[in-house]
Amino acid sequence: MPVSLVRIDDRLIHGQLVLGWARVLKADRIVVANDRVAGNDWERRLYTASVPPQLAVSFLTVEDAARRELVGHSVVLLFESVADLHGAFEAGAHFEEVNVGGLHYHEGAREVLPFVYLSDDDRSLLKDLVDRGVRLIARDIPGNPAVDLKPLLLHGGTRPSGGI
Amino acid sequence: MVAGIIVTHGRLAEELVETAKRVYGDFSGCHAVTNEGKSPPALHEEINSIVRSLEGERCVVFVDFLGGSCCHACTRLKIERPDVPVVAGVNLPMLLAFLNKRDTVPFEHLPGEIIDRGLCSIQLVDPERV
Repeated sequence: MPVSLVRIDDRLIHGQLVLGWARVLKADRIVVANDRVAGNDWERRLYTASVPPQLAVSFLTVEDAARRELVGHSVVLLFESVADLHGAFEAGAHFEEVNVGGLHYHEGAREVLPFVYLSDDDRSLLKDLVDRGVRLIARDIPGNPAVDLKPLLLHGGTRPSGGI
Repeated sequence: MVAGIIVTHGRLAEELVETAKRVYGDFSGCHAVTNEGKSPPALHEEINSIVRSLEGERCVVFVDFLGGSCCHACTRLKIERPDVPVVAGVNLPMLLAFLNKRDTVPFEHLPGEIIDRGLCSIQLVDPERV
């Protein structure tokens, strides 16, 4: 399995991903699993222009990303939302661990960590993944502490401030 | 007056504006925007609402670097507002050039002059060539 990192990040490809994760993981490919971007030539060009030439970028629908063999030695697989990640599991994918890298405020969402806001729907989908044995690790960039989201999902609360 | 909107990661935009005031003296019409804690739609909307609040007054948007989430938001703005120039790679000399020239240089030449100043400001310092 060439996937080095599965990440949820509402910004998809940006500085933290390219300069932080892809560099540290020596990634040779980024796969964006997103139906909208896969079907939008302009957005594909926008994100492709964010990536240095030695990194390959692919844009797949969520379903394609779940079903296709991903090519590369070290692949970073990106989802924009909890719903998309869950959709990949529903389409047959399984990942042992998922990095929750950035889910900023969206309607109905409450703060769990400064870079993680979850709605009730997000919570129930993530709990379903935890029940399937998935480790959900919140971490924005490689040097920062990794926070296990499971207890925060179960207790429904916000992590005490000052911890990250 | 031409307004400036500076969009960056962290506190860079705010500090660029504050630091420019220490060099140039007090000025108005520059808006500092951070992407900290904001989703792409929220950041895009914040920049858009500043542009709308200018009510037709012209502005130049500065962004820290090509390819980041700040630049993505500004690129989206450019689709809706092709009349707004967006300059990436902002540094202090560029902001100072903008302040110095915004009221005198024709608007269509302003982005080019800012970029020239930014490029010229990046050099190996050589005591023999001062």
